[in-house]
Amino acid sequence: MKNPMPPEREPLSRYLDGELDYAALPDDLKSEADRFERIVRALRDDPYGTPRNVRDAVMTRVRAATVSPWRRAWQWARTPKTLRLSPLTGALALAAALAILVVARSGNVAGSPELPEPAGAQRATTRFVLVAPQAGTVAITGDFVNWDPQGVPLRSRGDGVWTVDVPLEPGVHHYVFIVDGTKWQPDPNAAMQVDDGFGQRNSVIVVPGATRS
Amino acid sequence: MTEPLSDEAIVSRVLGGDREAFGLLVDRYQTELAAYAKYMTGNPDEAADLVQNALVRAYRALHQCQDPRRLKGWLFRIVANECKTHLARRKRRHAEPLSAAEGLATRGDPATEAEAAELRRRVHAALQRLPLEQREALVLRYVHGMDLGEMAETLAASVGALKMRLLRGREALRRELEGMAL
Repeated sequence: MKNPMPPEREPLSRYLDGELDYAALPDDLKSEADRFERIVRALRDDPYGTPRNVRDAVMTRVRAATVSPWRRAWQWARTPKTLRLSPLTGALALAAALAILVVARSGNVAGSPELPEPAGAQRATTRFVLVAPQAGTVAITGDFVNWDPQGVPLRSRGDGVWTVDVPLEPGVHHYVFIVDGTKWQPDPNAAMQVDDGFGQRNSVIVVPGATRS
Repeated sequence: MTEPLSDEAIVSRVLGGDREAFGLLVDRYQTELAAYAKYMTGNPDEAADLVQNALVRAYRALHQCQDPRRLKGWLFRIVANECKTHLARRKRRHAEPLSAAEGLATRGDPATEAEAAELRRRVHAALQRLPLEQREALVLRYVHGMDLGEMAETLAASVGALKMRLLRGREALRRELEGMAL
């Protein structure tokens, strides 16, 4: 991008960006810095009045939030347990786990329409796709980005289809799409969705654990 | 004297089942968050609604927040997103931009007060006319006093991009105020 700032004015920009002390400014730029400081003071002089206190409204909604069975199950699942199995039950569980792994490797369990081969030793590049012709922007957020409200942006193909490739570690991941900023919505293509505990749905994707050497 | 609980400790209490502890976070940050939303929307009522929604959203996602030491930046990001969505929706409805600053009354009669009020009115009106990205950068830098690193984290933008937004925003404000004695 072309730099619109002539070199002799760069110290002024650096000062206003907080990267340079006032004392280090050339004298001919100090008056301009002073003028902008007056603008800043006017900016800080709040003309809008105090917004109402939102504590009561927030806490009412917080108290009304219910903990879903899914979240309770998740907390239960994260707590170490002593598991006692009979040989028969153990064999059946092992067979079920193997069956899930085989299906997942064929790409049918994943929530995205396409699950590329693992790109590295630990992570698998996973393609997420959303059809949203009316959307101005689409991003994805989930546990793999710490539920970053900005998310990872999807690219538009120009025909209403948005895609992004995300490297994911093996395991179960929860995610949602963010359409036009903050409209959080689950993935309609996901094979599984779960309640997030607060009345909304998260999509679930399973990334197989095995990687190619 | 009792040390105030850290954000991390409060988050831990909330996640441990103490919902009321979330009120401590609301008390701690609602004023700053509301100020940001107010500057972005130009309307204190809309700002309160946006902050309310953002805080409830934050509570809902709190159990998935893995770094509560940076909670403030995380909350700002949620509010910034709420503001973006709200402003985009407002634009789609073709609503006239709200500009509380346009109707500001002067504070007192003396000429200096009138001049200060006029400057304030024009600065805030100009702010509301700026592109969203420039507006949020100016507000975070000059109203909230964030440095470029904090801004980059809050807005998920590079420092270089933020410098450019600040530069363009400052230039736009300066143009709007041409002819005024500063």
